[in-house]
Amino acid sequence: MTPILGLANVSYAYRAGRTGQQAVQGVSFDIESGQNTGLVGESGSGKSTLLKVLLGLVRPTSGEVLFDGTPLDLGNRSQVRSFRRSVQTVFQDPYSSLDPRQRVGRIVGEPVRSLQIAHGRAADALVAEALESVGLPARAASRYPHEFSGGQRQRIAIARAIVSRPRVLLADEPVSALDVITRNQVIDLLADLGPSRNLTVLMVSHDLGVVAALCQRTIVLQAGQVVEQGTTSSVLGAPSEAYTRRLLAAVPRLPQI
Amino acid sequence: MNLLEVSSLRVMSPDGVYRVRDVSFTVAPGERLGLIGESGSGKSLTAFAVIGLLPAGLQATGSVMLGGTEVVGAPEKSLVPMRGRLCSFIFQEPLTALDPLMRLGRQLAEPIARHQGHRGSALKRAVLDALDEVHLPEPERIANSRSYEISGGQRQRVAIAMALACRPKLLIADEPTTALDVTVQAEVLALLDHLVGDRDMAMIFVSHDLAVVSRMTDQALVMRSGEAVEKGSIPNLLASPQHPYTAEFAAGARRTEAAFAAALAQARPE
Repeated sequence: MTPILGLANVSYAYRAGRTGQQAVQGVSFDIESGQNTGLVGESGSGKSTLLKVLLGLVRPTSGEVLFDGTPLDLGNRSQVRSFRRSVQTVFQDPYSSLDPRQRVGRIVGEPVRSLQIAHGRAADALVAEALESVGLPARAASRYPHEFSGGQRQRIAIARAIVSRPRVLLADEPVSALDVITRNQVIDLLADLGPSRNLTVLMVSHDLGVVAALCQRTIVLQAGQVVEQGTTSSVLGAPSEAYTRRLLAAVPRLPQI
Repeated sequence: MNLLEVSSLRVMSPDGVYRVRDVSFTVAPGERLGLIGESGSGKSLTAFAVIGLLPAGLQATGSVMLGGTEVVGAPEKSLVPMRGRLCSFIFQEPLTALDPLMRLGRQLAEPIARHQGHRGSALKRAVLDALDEVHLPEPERIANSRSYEISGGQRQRVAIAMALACRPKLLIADEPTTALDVTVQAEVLALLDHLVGDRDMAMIFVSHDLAVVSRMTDQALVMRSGEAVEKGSIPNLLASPQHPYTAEFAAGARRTEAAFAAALAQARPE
């Protein structure tokens, strides 16, 4: 099966041509339908840069983003529209990612309007359905973000991301700002979206426990390069690279009881 | 005698809401205690109240006896000499503890000069020794740098060196590794563990992360909505929590731990 989204030998350099310093270098991986993928790495490993490339917010300096097997051309409007419908995102901080002056219904409905998916009642129905599928009542649409807790806000952000019925959700540390109990609820929600909405999650995370809980596949990044990728159980259980072993050894563990 | 005795501590915000309610605990010399809870549990406010550093507008009542002196209601003037010598504080974000305009060596020299009375080249030597003690490479270069010129892990090491400069009896660390990468976190925790152990210091370690706290202390106080819910050894809190909230919190922490452990255990070739 063709992967939904992939990177083929992608490099990206900020201020290209001046310093030549590459934030990511020769990165290749595929996101296959139904295989939630964890992108793991420390600060400066290039996680955020790769997300920008995957979202089509920046053009790779070299290499290609492949969308349904076809190179993504940011100048091709019909391809970009189909891409935006299919690839959506959730950010880390649910306090800064929701406009405090817009009602939740308007926030969640934004992709419906901008991608011209539906209008009027039909759009409202999509918003209500998205809210319900993240475990919020449809009447939440008439309220403002400040009326919700951190976990609920992250659900609103997820509702906005899934309202266009995307196939891939790119999530940047989606639970690291949440308390431990709320965190588990949001992981459950993301895990449920796979089967219920045919959605595959690519999650950037520094927390290997969260990756293990949600992702079938894991990619380890270090200094802009992929050091290791494979099934989560093979990468975590039988790491072949010293860096992966170092990361695993550093994870704080609970005492055995 | 206990180094710290907190009894019926309350912290009230300007709108009359109690953010900390009737919290009591003690810390003996050399003892370590974890303060665990989620955001809004009052764990950091409790830690701030111990050393009289509550944000403006927050009012503490009850009693905090630190080294035999009452902190609650004490004038700022009488608290200043206690800070650093009796008790010091490490914050989550070392950038807030370090002055961006001052070279790190000069900042570190201040408490060392006050405590040890060194001047001139002896003071410079002591500063470099203090940086060396927290395992910073190239102490000379770090001493000449400003806080924004070094990495987050290095900054936290400088903050630790400053906190330990006056040889306090109690160290309060408020989420000291939350802003750090996991490998750096492991190094900083190991460093803190060994420095606090070497000096027989007492420590209050504040964190939302049960696994991180368990790395540093055995005893922990669980807080929720400003109240102390349960105190006990971490293995006991995990294995036989007495309070439903502790049970919920422990179950939450154990879930990702279990997923991680399962992934480690079931290695199979692709």
